[in-house]
Amino acid sequence: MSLEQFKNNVLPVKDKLFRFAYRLLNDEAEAKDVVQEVFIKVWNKRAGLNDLKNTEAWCMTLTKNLSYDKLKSKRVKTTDPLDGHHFQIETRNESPYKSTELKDAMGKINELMRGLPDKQRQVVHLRDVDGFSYKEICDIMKLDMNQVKINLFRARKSLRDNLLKINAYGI
Amino acid sequence: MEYSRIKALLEKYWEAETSLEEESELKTFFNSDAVPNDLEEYKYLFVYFSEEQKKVSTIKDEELLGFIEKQEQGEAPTKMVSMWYSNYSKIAAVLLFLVVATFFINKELSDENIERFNKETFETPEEAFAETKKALQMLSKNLGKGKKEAKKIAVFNKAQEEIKN
Repeated sequence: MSLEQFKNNVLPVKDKLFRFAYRLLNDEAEAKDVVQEVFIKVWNKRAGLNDLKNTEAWCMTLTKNLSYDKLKSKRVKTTDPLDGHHFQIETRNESPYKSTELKDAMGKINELMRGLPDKQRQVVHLRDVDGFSYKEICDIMKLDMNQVKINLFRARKSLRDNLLKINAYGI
Repeated sequence: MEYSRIKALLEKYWEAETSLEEESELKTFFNSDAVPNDLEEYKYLFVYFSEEQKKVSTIKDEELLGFIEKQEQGEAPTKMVSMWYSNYSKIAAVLLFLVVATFFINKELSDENIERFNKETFETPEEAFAETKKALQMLSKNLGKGKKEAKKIAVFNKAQEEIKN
């Protein structure tokens, strides 16, 4: 793989990798480090890359594994959701009330996402945020189709139940 | 988009049976302003997914390519720049603190200061003795004065005892 190919095929994935690492690590600096490490690894292994059917999925798996290594090597302190998550939502001439409401809702859903078990959280992220196909998720997570679907089903169910609860009782 | 279709899609979504196209249809619908009230509670979930997808990393392409170039030139990989930087800055802060502290302590303990206390103020021992004697006499005189006043307190004590008895 030439540098040109690398630039065209691998570099554009960086945001997806970053989002995934951030989802796992909850720390921007650490996520950045992981992405850098992934790119260095990919570059070093570029000779074998042409055989890989799906470079993107492979990069995602690498990201997942490196993030896990990081989590294991030290319990990354989880940052407070208040300062850890800045949702930069472009204000489309919205009233302050509406934008506050939106921010609030985003924070709550983020909490719900963080409350999900690891696997479920990752599957939902891959599917609903980044729009990977089931097949790709199987490759990335090293799970079979059934497990992916079950994890997705459970994650969505728990998100739904919690949303209904929040709506009904305002907790 | 028809309301009934969205409802049906949503049911399929909860069962995890929607296709990617159908999911993006849901996302578009919930990101619009036309969400009916009874679906309001799910609106933000899909808004969240869309907003998350917009999140981009702060890593620049050149930065990454720079790493790769360095790697190519056989240099040690300089990964985790941010972590190293923060570690070094901690060490630097401690060093700076130590340097400043030593500076001030040295100034305080400088020869000038010590000499001020050790300087000889008298020429001969006799003179020094006389001066010391004077000082001690002054001290004892004042102590005597204080004692005289303190004796008056004894009167109070006596009075107190008499009252008690």
